[in-house]
Amino acid sequence: MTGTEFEEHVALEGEWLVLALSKHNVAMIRRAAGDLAASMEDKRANLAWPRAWRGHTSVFPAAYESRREQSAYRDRHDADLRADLMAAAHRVIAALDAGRPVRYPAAAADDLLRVLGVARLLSTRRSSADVTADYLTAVQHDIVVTLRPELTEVGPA
Amino acid sequence: MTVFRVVAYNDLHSEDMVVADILNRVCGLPLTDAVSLTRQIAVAGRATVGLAATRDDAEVIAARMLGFGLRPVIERNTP
Repeated sequence: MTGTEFEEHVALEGEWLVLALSKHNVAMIRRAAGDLAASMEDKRANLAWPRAWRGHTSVFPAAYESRREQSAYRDRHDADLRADLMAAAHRVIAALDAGRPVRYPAAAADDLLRVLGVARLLSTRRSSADVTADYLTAVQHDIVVTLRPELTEVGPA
Repeated sequence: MTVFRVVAYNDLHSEDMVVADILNRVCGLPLTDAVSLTRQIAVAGRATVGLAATRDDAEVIAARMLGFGLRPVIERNTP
C-alpha cells in the first residue's frame, strides 16, 4: 500500500461525482482506461489478433497457487470479469470524452474505482515505478475520500 | 464447515482506505472488521478476509476483489 499524494479536486455535487482534472491528467486516465478495455478483449476468441497478443491474457493476479485450480478458476470467472470491466472502461471513457470537469454518477463510482484499480495492474506490469499507476492510485484515493470521508483515517495502527 | 479462505495480500499500490472500502462494501465485511483487516494487510502483508463453505462462495469473493485490482488468493482452510 502507498502514501502517494497528488493535487486533485474531486467533489460530490448532488448525485454526481465531479472530477476537476487537468487536460493532461484526463488524457492519462483515458489512455489507461483504453488500454484496459483493449486488454479485456478475449484475444483467444479473436483470430484477427496477432498470436502473441492472443496468448497474453493474464491481467489479473492468480487467485490460486495451484496452476490446475487457477486454470479452472479462469474458465469459470474470467469471461464475466473481463466483460464487466470492459463495459465499465467504456463508460468511463465516455465520461472522460464528454469534457471537463469530468462528471460521473456517484452511484456508479465503482466503475471508476474498478477501472483505475485494474488499469493500474497493466501499468505496474510495465514498470514497478510507473507514474501512471501512482496517479491512478491517487485518483482512486480521492474518490473514496469524497464518498466516504469516515475512512480518511484508515491506515496502519 | 469452512473449507476455503480468501486471503488478501498487500499489493503495494492500493491505498489503505480504498482497501477498507472494498472489503466493507464489496466483500460485505462490517466496517470495523474491514478497517482492522486492512491494517493487518498493511503490517503483516496478508490477512484472511473471507471464509467460505464452498469453492464457489470463495471464488465469488475473490472475483469481486480482483475486479477492483486487489490481490486475493484462495486457500484450503486446513487445520
